[in-house]
Amino acid sequence: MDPGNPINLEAFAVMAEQRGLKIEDSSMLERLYAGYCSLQNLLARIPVEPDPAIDPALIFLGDGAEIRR
Amino acid sequence: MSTELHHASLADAARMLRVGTVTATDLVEECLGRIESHDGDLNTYITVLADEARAAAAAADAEIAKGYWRGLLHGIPVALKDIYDTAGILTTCHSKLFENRVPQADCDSWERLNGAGAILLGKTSTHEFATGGPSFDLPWPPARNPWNPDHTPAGSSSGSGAAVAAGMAYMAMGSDTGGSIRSPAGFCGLAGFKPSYGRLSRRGIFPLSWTQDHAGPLARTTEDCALVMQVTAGHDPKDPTSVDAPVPDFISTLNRPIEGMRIGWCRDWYEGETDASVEQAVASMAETLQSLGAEIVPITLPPLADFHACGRIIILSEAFSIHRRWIAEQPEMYGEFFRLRCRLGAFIGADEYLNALRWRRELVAAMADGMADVDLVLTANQYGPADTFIASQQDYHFFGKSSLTMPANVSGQPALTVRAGFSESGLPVAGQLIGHQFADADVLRAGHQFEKARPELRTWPML
Repeated sequence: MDPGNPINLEAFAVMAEQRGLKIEDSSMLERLYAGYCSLQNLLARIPVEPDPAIDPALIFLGDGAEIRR
Repeated sequence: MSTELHHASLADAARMLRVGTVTATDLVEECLGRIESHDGDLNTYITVLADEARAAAAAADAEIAKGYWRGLLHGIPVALKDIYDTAGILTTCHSKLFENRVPQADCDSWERLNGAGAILLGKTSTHEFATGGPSFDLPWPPARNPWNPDHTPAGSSSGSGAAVAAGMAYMAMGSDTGGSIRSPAGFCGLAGFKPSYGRLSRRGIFPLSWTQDHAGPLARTTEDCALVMQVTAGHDPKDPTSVDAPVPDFISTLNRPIEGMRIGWCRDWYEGETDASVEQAVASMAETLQSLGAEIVPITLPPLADFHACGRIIILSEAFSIHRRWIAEQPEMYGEFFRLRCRLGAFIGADEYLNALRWRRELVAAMADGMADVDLVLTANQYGPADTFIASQQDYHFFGKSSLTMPANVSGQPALTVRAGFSESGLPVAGQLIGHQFADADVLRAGHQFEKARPELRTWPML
């Protein structure tokens, strides 16, 4: 297991099955696992403690108006 | 500069129709001839509506002869990305899953284009469900770049970009969730406009990400994009994200000088990372805009990597939610790239998705703050010219460099791609202009003024 990755391939396969994914073969599983590992870098950029007042359903338009997305 | 009819701008074609130097039938036959001659190599269309287009052209010519004008696009042949629903017409999303899907109703965009007299030539190829491509394991092959068919036209509005650049339509609608209008526009040498979020209805366009999808045009000039915006923009009460606000006059404002306009040149996002031709092209774009009276000032905006991560997490989460059941029960109905990319959304937690949405609000505010003293942002559109198909065969294209087009999807701001130069190999490269929320007209005006000042850039691929 890569020390930078949260789980190894075997644990990842179990997690994929738990999420209802039927992966075709070992090659596709390995490719999906590679994507999962890279995804962690994106997830790590999310601010740890966003302001609790920020409602995710609204978007600020810059002129005081807000739109629901 | 090419003067061939199939490479006339939409605006010029409309002017020729007005004065009677061409007919709608001429325009349709010109496009159908190009499709017949070249689409076997370029794969830009999934469905060609030759008989229907000829009948519509004959009807348009008869109406025009009587002095009856339906609207700005009367008699103009156009195409729609094959995720735009069209009643009674195959709409596949370029996927085996929807290989025989025929919608019962038109999308809002086609209702408006049709109402303005446009003629539908057909439905263009796309990356599968606007994200999985370029793929060779789908029922239809991927579109190829008319500037060099060994290169991709980018995606996901790949067929739309390639068809317009190849003279097979005067405009094609695309969709843009992380850059899927602007990327093919850039690789194909077109103008591509992603309007403000809420400006165009998405009703009847198959979603990839509800909160980041935008509809918009790919065309040969910014003026063409403005014409299409004038027709397609407007409140749609059946789309809850559609904004109920007056539609500005995008066309009459195009020719207002940009003297005094303040343009923030955001080099941090791309400097040192791009092909030399891109840096040179964007720099020359800044010089041209300055020569037109704009004030070019350096600007620092939030890190590109933040927009990229935030937008991609949201897209993956929402796309997986849309496809979850199908991809679990019928994975064989999708291509490999789509299966891999979409399934990643299964591994993003609810808290991570919601925090990405909340982060987006912070990034929107930070972008507005960063642009407080400027009217527009100028930056690069892509890191280089079109990739080869070999280079583009990556499971996850989004784990490389951060997307230069993603910020405007995250923020919902209007963004325009315009051709700004060429690579050493003769492929087009582009710059990008980003405006304030709902200042779509400012973006179009600056793009149009730039194009008018640089007519030498307006060349087209020889096929």
